Amino acid sequence: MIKTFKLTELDCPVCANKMQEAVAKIDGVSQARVDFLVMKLTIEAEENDFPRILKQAGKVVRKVEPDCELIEI
Amino acid sequence: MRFTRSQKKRLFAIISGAALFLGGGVLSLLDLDMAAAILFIAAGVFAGAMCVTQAVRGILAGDFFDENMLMTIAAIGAVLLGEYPECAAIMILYQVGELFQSIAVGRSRRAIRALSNLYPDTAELLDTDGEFQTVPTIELTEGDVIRIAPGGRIPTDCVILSGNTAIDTSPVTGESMPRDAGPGEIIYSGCLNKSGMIQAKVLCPVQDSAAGRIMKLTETAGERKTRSEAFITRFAKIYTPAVTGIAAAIAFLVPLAICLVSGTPYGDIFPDWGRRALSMLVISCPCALVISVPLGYFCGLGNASKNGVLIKGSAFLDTMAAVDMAVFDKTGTLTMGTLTVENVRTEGDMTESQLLSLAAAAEQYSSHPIAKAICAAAGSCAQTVSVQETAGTGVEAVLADGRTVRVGRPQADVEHTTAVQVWLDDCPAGMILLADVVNPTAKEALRQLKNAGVEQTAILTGDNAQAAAQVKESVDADIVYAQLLPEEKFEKIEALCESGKKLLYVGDGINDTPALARADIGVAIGVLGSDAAVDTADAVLMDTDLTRLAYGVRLARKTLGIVRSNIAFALTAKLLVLLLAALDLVGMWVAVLADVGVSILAVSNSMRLLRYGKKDKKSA
Repeated sequence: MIKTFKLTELDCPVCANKMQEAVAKIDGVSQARVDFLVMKLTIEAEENDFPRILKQAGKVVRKVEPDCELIEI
Repeated sequence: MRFTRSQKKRLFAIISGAALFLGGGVLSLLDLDMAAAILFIAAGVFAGAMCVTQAVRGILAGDFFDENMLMTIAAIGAVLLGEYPECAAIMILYQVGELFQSIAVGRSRRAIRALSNLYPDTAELLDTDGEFQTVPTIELTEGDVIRIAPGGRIPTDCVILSGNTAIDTSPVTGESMPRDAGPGEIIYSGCLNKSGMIQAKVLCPVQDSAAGRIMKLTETAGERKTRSEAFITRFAKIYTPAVTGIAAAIAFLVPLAICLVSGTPYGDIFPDWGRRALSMLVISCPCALVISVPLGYFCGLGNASKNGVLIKGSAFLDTMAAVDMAVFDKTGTLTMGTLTVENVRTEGDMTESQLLSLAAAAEQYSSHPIAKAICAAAGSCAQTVSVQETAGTGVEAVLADGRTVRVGRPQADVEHTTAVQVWLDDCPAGMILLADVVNPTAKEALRQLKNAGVEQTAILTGDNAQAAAQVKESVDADIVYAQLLPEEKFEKIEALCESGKKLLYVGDGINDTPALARADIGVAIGVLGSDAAVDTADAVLMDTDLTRLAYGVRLARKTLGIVRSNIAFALTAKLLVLLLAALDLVGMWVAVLADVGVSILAVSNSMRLLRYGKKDKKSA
C-alpha cells in the first residue's frame, strides 16, 4: 500500500534526495519518493509495517533536516 | 513576508553574527586586537552554529562531503591560521546565501500551491436522517448527496439535483466567464459556486474528479528528471570530494615538497598554502549549481501551471524546448468540435430566419449536434403540435397552423461536409449548411509557435481533404494529412518521429491516445477532456486556448536557456576563482564573496522564470 505524507520545512533539494535515499533504506519499504516541489513523501510498504516505518522515517528525516516534520494526510 | 522556522533561525544567525562582526571591526580599528578576535570568533559561532551542527550530523550519517562540511572546515581553518574576520565572514555570507535560496524556493512553491489545493477539505453531506453533516471531502462516494453554499468550492464532480446558480470554472479551465447551471447539469470539483444554494449528487470520489486529476498531474511532476539535473547530481558527488582532495594536497603535500626540495622549515610555508587551500574549499562549494538547476526547472514548471499549461515533469520542458514540428488533430483541437450554421439557402420568397425557425421547430427536442446548432441559430421556433422522428430520414413536425415540416438529409449530393434539407408540406423549402467552428485561438497560436522557432505545423484528420484544406487555410498551417483512420494517425506520427523530427502532437484524446503517447511530446487539450488522454499526455492545456501551447514552448526554451547559462556561468566563475586562489592571487574574502555571489546570481537568474511572461503578454 502507498501512503503520502507532508514534509514541513524542506528547504534544499539536496536534503530531499538524501531523505529519499535514507527512507528507502528502512526495512520493509519497497519504494520511497521525496518530492521537493510539493514537499511530499510517498512510501510504499506493507500495511502492517506502516506504524513502525513511520516512526523510523520521522527520525531519518529529522537527521537530515532537523526542523522537518512528517504529517500524515 | 512570513518566514518559516528554519528561515527565522538563519535570519537570527545572520543578524547576531553581523552585529558581533561590526563590533569586532570597531575594536580592531581601536587596535584592541585580542578583543576583536574574540568578537570575530563569536560572530562565526553565532552565524555558523547551524552549519556546524548540520556538518556534524552529516558526518554521523556517513556523508562527509556536503557544503556544510566544506564551510565548517574553511571557518575552523581560518581561525587556526589567525584569520578571524574571514572566519566570521564565511559563516555570515554562507547563511545569507542559504536564506536567499530558501526564500526563492518558498516563492516558487507558492506559485504551485494554488494548483495543488483545488478542492475544499470538507463537504456538507446529507445523512440518513435528512440532516447535513460536515465530512472530509475524501470520504465522499458515488451517489452521496451534498449541499454547496454560495461562495463555496465544489468538492468533487457531481450532478445538480436542485437549485440554480452560476459556476465559476476558472480554477479548473481558466475560462473566466461564469456559467449558469441548474438541475441535471454536471459541475466539476474545484469550481466555485457563485450565487445559489444547490444540492447535488456525487458522481465520483474526489481522487477521480477534475481537481483530483489536476493535482495528480502537478504532484508527479518531480518524478522525471532531466539530463541536466542528473548531470548535476552526479557532478556534485564527484566534484566535492575531488576538490577537497586537491585542497588537502595543496595545504599539506605542496609545502612538504617545497620543504624537502629547498629545506625551508615546514612551519614557515604551511600557513600560506593552508590559506590557499581554504580559499579553494570555500569557492568550490557546489551549491550554486545544485540549487539553481533544479530551481530553474521548478520555476519553469510553476510558471507553466500558473498559465494553464500543466507539464508532467521537467524532462518534458527540455523536450518541449527542442520541438521542431507541431502536429494538430483537427476536430476538437483546431476546431471546437461544435457545429454552427454557416449558410442558409432558401427557395422562393422565404427568408433565412423563417427557414431556420421552421427547422428549429422540428429539431427542438433532438440532442444531435446538428439540431443544437440549428436551434441556436434560430433563437426562437415555430409553434408545433407534434414532432416525430422518422428513422433514417430525419424528423417531421406538424405546426400549429397545420403545415408539416420535415428536416433530413439532402437528396442530392451537396459539396459540403454537413448539410440538411428542409421540406415544407413535402416541397423543398431550403437548405441549411453547417460547419465546425475553427478554434478562434488557432491561427494566432500557430503564428506564435512559428515565432518561437517551431519550423513546421501540420494537421492530422480523419475528415475529407476538402474540409481539412479549409481548416488549413484558415489557421495557416503548413501541411495537412487528411482522410486518416485512427491507426493511420498513429502511423503518420511514428513515421514523422522516425524521420528525426522532434514532434509535438496536440489532440483531444478522442481516438488519438496512441499518437499522444508516441510523439516526443503529447499535449492533451482540456483537463476535463478524456481521462485516457490526460493520463497519456506529457502535458495538458487547461482549456482550449491554443496560444497557451505557444507560451509553453517559449517558456520551455527560456527555461533551458537559463539553466544552461547558469551551469556555464557557475562553472566558469568557480574554476576561475579556484585557479586564482591556488595561485594566491585572491584571498579568502574574494572566495567567500564569489561563492555567495555566484549562488545568488544563479538563483535569481532561475527565479526570473517565475516572472517570465508577465511583461511580454501584451507584445506576444
